[in-house]
Amino acid sequence: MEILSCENVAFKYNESTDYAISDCTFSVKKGEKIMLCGASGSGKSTLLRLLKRELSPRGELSGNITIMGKDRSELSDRESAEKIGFVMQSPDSQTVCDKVSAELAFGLESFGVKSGEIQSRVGEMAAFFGIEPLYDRDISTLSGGQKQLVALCSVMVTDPDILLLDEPTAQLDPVAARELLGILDRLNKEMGMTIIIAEHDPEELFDSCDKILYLSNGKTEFFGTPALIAKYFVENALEGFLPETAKAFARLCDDLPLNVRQGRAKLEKLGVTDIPKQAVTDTERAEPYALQCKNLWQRYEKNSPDILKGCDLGIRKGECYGLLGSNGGGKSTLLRVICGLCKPYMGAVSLFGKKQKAYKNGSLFREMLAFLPQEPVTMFVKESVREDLLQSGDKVTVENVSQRMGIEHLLDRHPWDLSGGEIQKCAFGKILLADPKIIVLDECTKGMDSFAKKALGDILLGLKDEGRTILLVTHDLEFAAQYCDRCGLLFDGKIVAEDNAVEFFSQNRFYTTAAARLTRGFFSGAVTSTAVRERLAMVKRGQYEQ
Amino acid sequence: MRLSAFHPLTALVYFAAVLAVTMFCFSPAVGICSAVGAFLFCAVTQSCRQTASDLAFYSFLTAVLTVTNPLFSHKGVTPLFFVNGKAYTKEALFYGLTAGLSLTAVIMWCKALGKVLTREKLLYIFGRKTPKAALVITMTMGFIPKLKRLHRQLLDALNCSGANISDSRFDRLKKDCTVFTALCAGTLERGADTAASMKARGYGIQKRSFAHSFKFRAWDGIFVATFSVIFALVLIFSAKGELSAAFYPVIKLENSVFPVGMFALLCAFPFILEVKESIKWKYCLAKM
Repeated sequence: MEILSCENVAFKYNESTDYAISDCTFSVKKGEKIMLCGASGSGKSTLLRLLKRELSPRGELSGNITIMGKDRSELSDRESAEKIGFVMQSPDSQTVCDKVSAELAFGLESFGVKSGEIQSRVGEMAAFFGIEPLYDRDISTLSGGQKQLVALCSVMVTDPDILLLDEPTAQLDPVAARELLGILDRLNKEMGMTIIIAEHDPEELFDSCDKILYLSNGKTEFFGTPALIAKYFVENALEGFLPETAKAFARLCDDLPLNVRQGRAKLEKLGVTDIPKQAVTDTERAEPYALQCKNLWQRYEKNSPDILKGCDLGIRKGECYGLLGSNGGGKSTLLRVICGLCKPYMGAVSLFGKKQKAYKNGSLFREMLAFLPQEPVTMFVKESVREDLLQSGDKVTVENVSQRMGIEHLLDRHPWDLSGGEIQKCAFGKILLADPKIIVLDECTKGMDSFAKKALGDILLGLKDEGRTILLVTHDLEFAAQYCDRCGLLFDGKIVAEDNAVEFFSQNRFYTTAAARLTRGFFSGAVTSTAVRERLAMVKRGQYEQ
Repeated sequence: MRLSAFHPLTALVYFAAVLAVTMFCFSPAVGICSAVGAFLFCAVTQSCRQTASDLAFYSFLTAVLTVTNPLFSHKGVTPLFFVNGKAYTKEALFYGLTAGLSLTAVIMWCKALGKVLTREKLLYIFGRKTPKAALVITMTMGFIPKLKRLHRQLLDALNCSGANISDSRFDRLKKDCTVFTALCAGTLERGADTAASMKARGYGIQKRSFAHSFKFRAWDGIFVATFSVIFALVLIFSAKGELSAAFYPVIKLENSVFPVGMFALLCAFPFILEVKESIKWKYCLAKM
């Protein structure tokens, strides 16, 4: 049964002359899980918000949006609020209350439900989501993943028929993201919940959806099953939207494998067996150390446990180093220590052989180091991007840098109005003005689609070619495998594994890229989908004996 | 049953009664009973270290009030000695002591109230009838940590931005101003999202209800009745002048044993309940 349908929907923002959504037609059956994909700015958010009346942007709407057999405008206030659940991107801005218990009850309180029923419904949902241990906690003390679970749960208590999610994993680390998507899968499979989710990372979701809607410039370009849309993406050179396994096999075989299991079956069928390892050039250069940490120990309070426990780290000049590790492993603390934002109680940091302490009054950041925080928008404190950039450099350099980063058209915009990818580029521009020798990046790919990631990677390669040193803290294993020279795993307050990127990811079994999981036991040393493609192409050309 | 396990209204009635007597019956006997009762309750519900530091602080506070009162008030007929030609009297000294005890008692009871009536319970008492006010409180409380976090981020980002910031006072002030403006802008930006989220979850479409509920059990009834009876008796005796004290010009204490005993019992109530529970627990544990 059809639960939601859009017919020739078009939408134009009030101040705009262009249509944000045009000619959008699709329909969703009860119990289906639909993924919306498309580049940033393609109208995913706008479309999702149009489906939820309360969140609809102001503008001119034409066409028909039918929800549960009624036109969108014919739904009563209560129906619209209760039956259509909406989860936003950032859990921080969508939570209303201070306590988890209050947050979960918020929706039902709004509908005037009696307190006994509120408690039974909240209790039931909290048990289903496994967040009972959090019930009495302050929301501000939760991790990002837990906050998003609470946000989802607080929407689910009103028992919606349709659940809309706008990039719910964009602010989460991959582990938390996987957990959230797992819960959504359960909601869909165990309760028959209709789910429409906008996502930028296809890896987990692509294969488990019933249908995928591809939006390009506000138009529905394709709406179909994962297998069909995979074929469409390959034909139209849009492999960026595919999961890693499919990327590796694109154009090399007909029925694309969409997950690692299918991919491995395919390799088995091709009869690829243990191709000798390619000689990996040792990337540990003979250059001097640009950044060196020796035996760092750090804790936050006198009686709290140590966060860093004798952490050693050496990064050579011109290197791109990827620092990986789970949440709470001490990555952020290490970065703060390196940037001098907090002092270790033992150990020291030196930059090009000079002690970090020797830099006074912020001269560290004027001469040597640049730090790009997780939320680059926090670097901007003025009314326009240009004003902010002019703080760090004169007019000519600002112009040169903005030309290089391709942000000239953004200079007069307000920093808060820019999209994630745009603000990231502006922030890069800002730190380049100080001409840093070492660049430290914290989770710089969070919330980016594959095209934005590629653009960022190219920028990083360019900076490396200029002889700059880069320290990248990330959860994004694919990105690290692609662009880092060496990788290190921070675990329990120290670096426990460190190697060049290829070795690092081929040795790990679980904490590794999809490509490495795909090719484990078939050929070694292929840890990115590009590398897998090269090997597969070689196999096809018959360069290897089979 | 501990006091915190009772219905919030029971606890509220209790604290109101004790505070009312402590504040309006100005007599050393009342002050001592009240302060000791509150102190014992706080002592069994917090760490020994905290208790020791409380004891030191409130003794100091009482001592200061006791010693300084005669310096300002020179009434009374029994001069102990003369300061700058003014009399330092015994009556004023005792008045100061009583004031110190009462003040200590009120502060300690407020502390105890904070332990028993948690925010949820206060919201339940005052928020049930005005759910909107309750929402404002819980939103504000949720807002502060968000603000703190954003402030930290902005400050770190600015410190790391390589902007010319010296340690001079003017530059630091300028930096604080910049961060503050950005903080306001950023908060408003996020506030818009919160508002949208509230609307999406049905805020304002009808009268709100209130989620928390507590059962008013038979025990609550019994306790409220007991408290009320004791409170009424103490009031009656106090009105008859049997629980009063006059300090000037001569100290005259009118403390009948019965009302003072009743009030002492009332003040010791939370402490007795607490001790009874811990003995019960120990006994259960021994059997397990």
